[in-house]
Amino acid sequence: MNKNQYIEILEKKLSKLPHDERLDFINEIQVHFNESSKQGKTDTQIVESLGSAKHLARNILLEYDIDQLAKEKKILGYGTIGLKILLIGFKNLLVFPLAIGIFATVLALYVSLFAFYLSGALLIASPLIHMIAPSLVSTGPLPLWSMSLIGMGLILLTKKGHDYMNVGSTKLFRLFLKSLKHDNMVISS
Amino acid sequence: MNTQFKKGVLDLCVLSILDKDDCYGYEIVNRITDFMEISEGSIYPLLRRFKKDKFVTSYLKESVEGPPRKYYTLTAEGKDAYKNLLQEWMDFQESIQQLVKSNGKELEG
Repeated sequence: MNKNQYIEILEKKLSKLPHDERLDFINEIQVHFNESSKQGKTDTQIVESLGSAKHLARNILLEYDIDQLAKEKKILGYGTIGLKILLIGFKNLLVFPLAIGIFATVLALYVSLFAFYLSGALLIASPLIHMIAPSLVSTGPLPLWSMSLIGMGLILLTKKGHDYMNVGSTKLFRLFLKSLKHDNMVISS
Repeated sequence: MNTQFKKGVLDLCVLSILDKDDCYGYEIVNRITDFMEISEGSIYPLLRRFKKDKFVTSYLKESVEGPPRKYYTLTAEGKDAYKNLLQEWMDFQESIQQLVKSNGKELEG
């Protein structure tokens, strides 16, 4: 691969960067090529010590993606957050297992929240269910109306937990972004 | 040299070089490769990160041939970061030396 091919790949891969930033960066790599060849290195040797254009572009983009994401101040929808974590994870296999872990944990927590809401709703509806199908509802020693009351309490508690979880998962996500930022320098010899 | 070692200290190397002089990217690469082998491409993302973290500022300077060179200057924040990182490194390497010594191996040199 020669200098022009290398630069061409960089241009293509970095098309997402703002125009000025891309120009600035490519200019810097061009200087690297020029000065290296003044020292008598061939293009092949220069490319070998620089590392592949794809790898270099990936490192630059990862940094850029994280910054863009961190700039989005509003709380994102959790589906989007999960997707973005996965995307970043794919881009950097080092953090992929971590991203999967975080995403799965958050997902599991939200699924169990749903289960709590559902059981609350069923408890509230139990007098009604009792009327339609008495065999489905066994009240034990408690009167039937108390089931509805317990159901309402359960839903209120779950709502409280839901709020905490929203705050918690946002914090977790920010922490993850931060750790990603510190861990994305990869040097191969 | 162990690549994990290098990964940890590359920040320190670049900060130390910029603490002495303003340099452009290729110059930094050269000053490091005088001492150890690195993937030269890793310096450029690192410099971008330093700039975003406000450890450095940059300015362009025309060169006789080819595109202008981008010089980096350490900011006050960068100097602080350098001082802290250097201290951490000193403490760290001293601990490791003592640990290895206490297990009966003398470090050479």
